[in-house]
Amino acid sequence: MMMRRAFILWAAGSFLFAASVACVGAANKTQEWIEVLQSETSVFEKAQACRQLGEFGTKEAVPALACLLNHNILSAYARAGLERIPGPEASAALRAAMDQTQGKFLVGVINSIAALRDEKAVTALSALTRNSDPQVVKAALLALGRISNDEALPLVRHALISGPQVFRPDAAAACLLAAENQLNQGKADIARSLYDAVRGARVPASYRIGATRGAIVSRKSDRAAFLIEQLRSDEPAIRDVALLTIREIPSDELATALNAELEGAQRDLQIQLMTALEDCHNAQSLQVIRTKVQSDDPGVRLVALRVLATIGGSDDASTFLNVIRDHVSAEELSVAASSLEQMEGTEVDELILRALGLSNESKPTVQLIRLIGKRNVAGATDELLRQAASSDPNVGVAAFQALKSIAGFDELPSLIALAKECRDDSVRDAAVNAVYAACKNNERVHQSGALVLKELKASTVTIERESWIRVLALLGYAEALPAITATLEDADQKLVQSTISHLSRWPDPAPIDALFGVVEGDSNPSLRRHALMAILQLATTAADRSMATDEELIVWFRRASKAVQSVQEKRLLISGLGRVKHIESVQLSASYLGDADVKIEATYAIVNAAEPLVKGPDYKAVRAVLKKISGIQDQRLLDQIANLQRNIKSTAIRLNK
Amino acid sequence: MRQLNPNISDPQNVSKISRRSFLRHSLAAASTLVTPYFIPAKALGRDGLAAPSERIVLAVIGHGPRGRYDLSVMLGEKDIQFVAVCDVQRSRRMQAKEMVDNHYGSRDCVMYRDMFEVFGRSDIDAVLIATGDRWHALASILAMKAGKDVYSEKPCGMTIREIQALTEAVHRYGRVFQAGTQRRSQENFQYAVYLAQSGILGQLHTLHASVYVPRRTYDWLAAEPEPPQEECDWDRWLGPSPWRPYNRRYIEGRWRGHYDFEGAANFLDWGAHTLDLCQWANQSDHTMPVEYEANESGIVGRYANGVKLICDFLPDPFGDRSPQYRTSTGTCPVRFIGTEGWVETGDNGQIVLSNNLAKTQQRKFKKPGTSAAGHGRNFFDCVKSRALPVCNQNVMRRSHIACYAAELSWELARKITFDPVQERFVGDAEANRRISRATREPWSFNV
Repeated sequence: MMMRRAFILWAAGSFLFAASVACVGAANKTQEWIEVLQSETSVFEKAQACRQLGEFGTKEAVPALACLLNHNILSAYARAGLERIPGPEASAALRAAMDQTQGKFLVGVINSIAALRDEKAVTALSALTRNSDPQVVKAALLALGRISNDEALPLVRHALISGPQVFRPDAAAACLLAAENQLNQGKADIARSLYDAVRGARVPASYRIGATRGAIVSRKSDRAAFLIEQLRSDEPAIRDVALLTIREIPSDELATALNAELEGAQRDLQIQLMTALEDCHNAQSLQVIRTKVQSDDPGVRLVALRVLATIGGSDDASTFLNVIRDHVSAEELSVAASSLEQMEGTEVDELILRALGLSNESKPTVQLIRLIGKRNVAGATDELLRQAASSDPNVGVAAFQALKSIAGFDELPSLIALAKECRDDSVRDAAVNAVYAACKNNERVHQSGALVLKELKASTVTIERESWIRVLALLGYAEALPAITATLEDADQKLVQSTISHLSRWPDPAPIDALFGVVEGDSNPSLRRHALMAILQLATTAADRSMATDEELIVWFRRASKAVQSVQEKRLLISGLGRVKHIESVQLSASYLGDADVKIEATYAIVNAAEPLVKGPDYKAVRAVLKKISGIQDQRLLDQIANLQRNIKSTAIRLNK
Repeated sequence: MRQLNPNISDPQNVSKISRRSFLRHSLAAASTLVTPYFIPAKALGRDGLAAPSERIVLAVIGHGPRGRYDLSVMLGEKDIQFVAVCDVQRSRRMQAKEMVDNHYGSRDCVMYRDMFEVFGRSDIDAVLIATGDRWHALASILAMKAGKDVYSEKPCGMTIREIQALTEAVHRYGRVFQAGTQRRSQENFQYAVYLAQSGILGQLHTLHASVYVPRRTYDWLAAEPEPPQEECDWDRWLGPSPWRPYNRRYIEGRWRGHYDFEGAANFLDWGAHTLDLCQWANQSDHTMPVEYEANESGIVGRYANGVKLICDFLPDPFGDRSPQYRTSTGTCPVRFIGTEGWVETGDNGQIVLSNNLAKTQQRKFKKPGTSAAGHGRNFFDCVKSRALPVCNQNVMRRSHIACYAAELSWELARKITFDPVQERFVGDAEANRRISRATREPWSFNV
């Protein structure tokens, strides 16, 4: 259970509500909140009052809040209020509280003083660095580091160098805070001396790591040299922080230093330095990386390639092409290929083409062909057609796939000729896809279709005829339909089967009548079933795309319904009927309500098709169909039916007025 | 010379970028997903894991639903090893240990209630922070102070000041930091941003970021008896948040919406992703919008370059997202609009384009959901290379602070102006008072 209180703000998006609350909490409410704090009300109420005072309160609230700094629960709420109230009064109250609190409350007060960076508190904080409570000492040191004025700086430095060993890590953290502030104020020399002090102190590595980073960024003239010195450290953590810091201070000078360092670095550092060059490099860096691409170490080579892919330009295309040619490892090949794919410029296209012309091994050749396809190299068609004729099926497939995006009408005769010569199924498949793409990729689709149709008519080879039918069907080339449907009479049942499949993908319902010929006249039951499915697919697509009138659709579905037998066929038929918003569609669907296998589907189809009909003169016929529906459990469907019935009622009233 | 990282990019030199140069940065994480950057195959052990000396040793701090998800994804990486789990709730500690042990086929994972014990282990290189929001910034800072690299779930802090403190600590202790805003490592979002940055959308003028309708309560749930500390350490669960009585619903995840436990009225739950993507699309990782004004349907921001940022409140974020967005693009969609067209994408991976671009620029991507796989990989690569992760502290700082500024305009119900350099509200004492919140003693961001 939520505690109900006057301070509730469950805004839940209520913009106006938020505005009103902001108004309620305005400054003139300060006195009311003070009274809450001074009353005997609950801790919850007082906590909310503290928050409100932090958001809206004025200096008058400071004493009331300060009274709570020793409160076991409310001390944090009180400090939250005090930290936010503008003016010197809150800081003064917190300073005063340093004498009146101890333990965790005193730590809290010190933390608030640090948050407010109260310079007037330095003397008192200095005294607290000698407190018997270690938590108080730590907080005081860190507060001094945060304040870091002229008075505080020597105190934290002294604590680091001469203070008790147990507090040196805290003094180191304080020095890092102080150095950071000095750096932000442009006092780099002071910051540097503090960072150097921490680097030289006997403190845990994490402080020295931070100090090393600070010592690098706070240096000016010798920054690069100092960073390189850190890269040579025996301590991996110091090398690591130097590497990280490279990213903060990139410069030409630093890049030059890194280039030089890379030459003699150990293997792992070489790899890290090369990666760093991605973020800090100059013209010479490229040369260094190119050298590393030739390394005998695969790890070094791979990273060099990746870096070259990032910072290199088209001048490096030949390097990547060599990688493809030599095909040393899958990783290197992948980097080289993706780099070449994204490289801009026709000169890169020419280099790839030239490399392809010279390539005589399967894998590099395939890779180069794929690159040409991805780069859409316009002048590559002749070479690709040459490669398409390769006796190597992998090369042939790759070439035809590349031609899909490049070839057009001019290449169509060559593609057709190549497709006819294919002996390998996968190559032929790729070739036929390329023929189809070439037909589609140009303005002369009609002429392209005519060329392919000519091949169909001339061919007596089943596999060729099947290929051309596939292309023509995908194109939906109307002039080819008589020639294609003629094959439905062919003695070769396999060809008839594939023709039916291709016709089912015709872009419009034109083949339906021919397919009904198979359904109603063919002696082969398998072909009849196959044709029926094709009809249902075409009719459904025509319904979705409004390619036929409702009347035409009804005729097709009614005719098809006489042939449907299997559950799958019935489902496909009903699915199509549901798309036709016609009373005959509703009634035809209703004839399947008694069939347990498709009852739900039929109900859905009825509901879907009937939706617009219940608002017009067909409402009575729909009502009659709805009465036949029973035993439906699906709540969503029941809701839809109820909705239809409501609409029927209102239509009846409207039309019978 | 070219400067590649967001934090060192020259703000004066933001320009149209090529596909190649964009992919160089943004797809770095994806490209290394298959083959870790620094681990050649021959260095791999026989078990398919990286050699012990090459492994990053990790601990997870906080094992709620998101922590569990992150852990499950990260465990799949071959060159890392989780050795410790930490949660103030015993049941969650045990769940996490079981998950880790089952993965490695051992009983070696150590459970901790106190995160300081984890930070004290010198063998641990990095930590995954997946606690509740109230702990994200402080746990991250304390981990870095102890020399650990950090992957922190978002939101990475509860206030503007916490975000600043966190960013400062990343630099102060020289650590690698990745915010869990994983969309920068996901292809569909990268592609949408590429379309914006490359000029294919024309001159950008409006960026849409979907966000939850803000919500907040100051209530306390009714007090219940505190469980034994070993079962749930309530004091440590509260951490830097002010004290309130225990109620089991908080620890079960119902802390969301409570002012003390969630910053910015839930704005960053989505805003940390969607506004961050707008920042990226606008090439604004070095800055943020300068004006914000809330209304009933959202918050309208304006960048100094004139680009408008619209944070749309979605009343039905997991259902019908129209009319602002196409429902088909999934949760948390963003939309970038330029003079030549627009693009929208969300967690379903689908790219929706304006009609004029649909034919030439359409791409298909797998549904990314909320997977942190590629993002985690990017972090691990950076732990090794010491490069800056894609959602490093500088990127996170600007997008998170922009979220807080936007939400504050809703909270104050008026227009506010923000100085992105000083990170202060301009001439607005009322807004500036809300930049920070005090922490409960003994916790402090002054570390």
